[in-house]
Amino acid sequence: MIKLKLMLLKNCFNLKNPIYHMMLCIMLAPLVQASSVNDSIKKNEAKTPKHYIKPCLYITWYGIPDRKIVPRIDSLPMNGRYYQFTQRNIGLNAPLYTTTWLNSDSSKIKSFQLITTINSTKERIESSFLNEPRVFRRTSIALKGIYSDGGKNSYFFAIAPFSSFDQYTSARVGSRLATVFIYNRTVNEKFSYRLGFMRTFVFGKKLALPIIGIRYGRLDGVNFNLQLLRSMSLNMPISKHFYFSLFTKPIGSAYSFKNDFNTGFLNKGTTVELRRWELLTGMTLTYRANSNFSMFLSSGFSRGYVAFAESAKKIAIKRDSYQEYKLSQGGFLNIGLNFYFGKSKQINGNYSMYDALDLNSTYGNDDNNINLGNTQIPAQNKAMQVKNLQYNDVKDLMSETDIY
Amino acid sequence: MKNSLYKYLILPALILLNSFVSAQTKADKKEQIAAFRVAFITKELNLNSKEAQLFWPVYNEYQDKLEGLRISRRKQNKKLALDVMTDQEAEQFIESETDFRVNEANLQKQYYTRFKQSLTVKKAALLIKAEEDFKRELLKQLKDKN
Repeated sequence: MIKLKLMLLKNCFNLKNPIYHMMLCIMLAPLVQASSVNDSIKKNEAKTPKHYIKPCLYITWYGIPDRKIVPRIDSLPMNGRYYQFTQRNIGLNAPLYTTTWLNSDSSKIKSFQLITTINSTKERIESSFLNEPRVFRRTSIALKGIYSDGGKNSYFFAIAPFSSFDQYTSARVGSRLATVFIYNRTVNEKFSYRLGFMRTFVFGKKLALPIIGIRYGRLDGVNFNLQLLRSMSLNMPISKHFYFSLFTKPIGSAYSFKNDFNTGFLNKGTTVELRRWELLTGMTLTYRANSNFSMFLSSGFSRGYVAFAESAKKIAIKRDSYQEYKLSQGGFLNIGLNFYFGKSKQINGNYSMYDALDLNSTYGNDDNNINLGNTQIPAQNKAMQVKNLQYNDVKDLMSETDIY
Repeated sequence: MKNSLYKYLILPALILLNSFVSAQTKADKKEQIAAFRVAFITKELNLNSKEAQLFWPVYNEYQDKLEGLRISRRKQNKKLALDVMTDQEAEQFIESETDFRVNEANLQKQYYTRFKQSLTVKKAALLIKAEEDFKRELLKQLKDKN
């Protein structure tokens, strides 16, 4: 566990990484704002939070141990039969701009939020079809927008360009773009549906796919969430601090790099396209310590494929010109830490905003196995009481007439 | 160099992590009270789905603005040493306190006009009572605890 923590920290505090500097700037921004808060107090002005979403710094780790791989076409050459994959992420999801305005009869608050997700991923592939373990670094800066009409309708878009870097050859190996557009209708607190499309790499190659999603059950309670072609989950709070979910979802990516395979199937020195995808089925336990920190542990089984060819074009067109390996079913482990900063606008009971938060946490985050979770959605209070209530918690609400 | 950098970063990072995990912050208590308020008012006003969808965003905005006024007042009062203040400071204190009450009342007036748009007039009136009852309920819970 300590080794794991050290690995995560090593990745996050890489001072050479430009992502680190960008995150630092965004995290320091509230301090600059804090000084302006003090100035405003002198002028006797009330300051309210600007955004619905708190900035979130997340660190995640995903890995599968040694897996047996089987070539799909038996005649293909192969030395040894194993595959191992690990992925480390550090990223920041932060609101950039939020504006609200009223409709004509002042009954609805419309809103538009612009959010960014800056992400740095380090992926390590070790397999019998590679001479040495290959490490890829991926950097992405996603821009996401959510428009809510204050009633039942929300529109979400995300544009996530990312570029990959092959650590083995120290070469930049191309840039790609993932996009999502979704219309969400919150029919009531228990039911919502989504329609949209995404340009994604989660199936190991560039695909334009439709999104058809339904959710049944409250987002702050037990719910079943089916986002077709992206994920399916059953989520339930088990206490104030713990949430449990069962899920199935695809993850994957595509990489280009200089060939040094030892299979002899491809010419050495050519640019190779490698794609991988897995279908995960498992469970997640999320611990929400308080409004500033949450962590999750996710585990289960996965199966999938790894394929490579001389170029992306060949993979797409000529099936017999690439090698494809089937991954045997095996376990995976995914853990993550989320740190939240600052204050946000209250959203209690605002179910369309709950859906907006769910859209932000599910889609557009670098398109590869990053889910921020829904721990910013306030927990439902069923007990009709507040634990450990102190005088200081209520003094602002009281006047002497409340006593008699 | 690299190793020592990590050594110096790991310890503060772990301390930071611990403080994030163990902090039972004011924000959490505020969140608990807000969640309780939603449950209490929903029950008292018997809000249907359509009313809730329109009402809660507006009510949350109202609560955010009230909170802003209260925080501003609290911070100002904290800086003030009442027993050693000058006449000018005393004058400013009186002015800011009366301003606070006027602003609070103005906010209430402004938002109750809007609540009438998202709820029926009768339910908006019931909200005044529900808010009072909610405060009493909190006082009761505080009293029971002690």
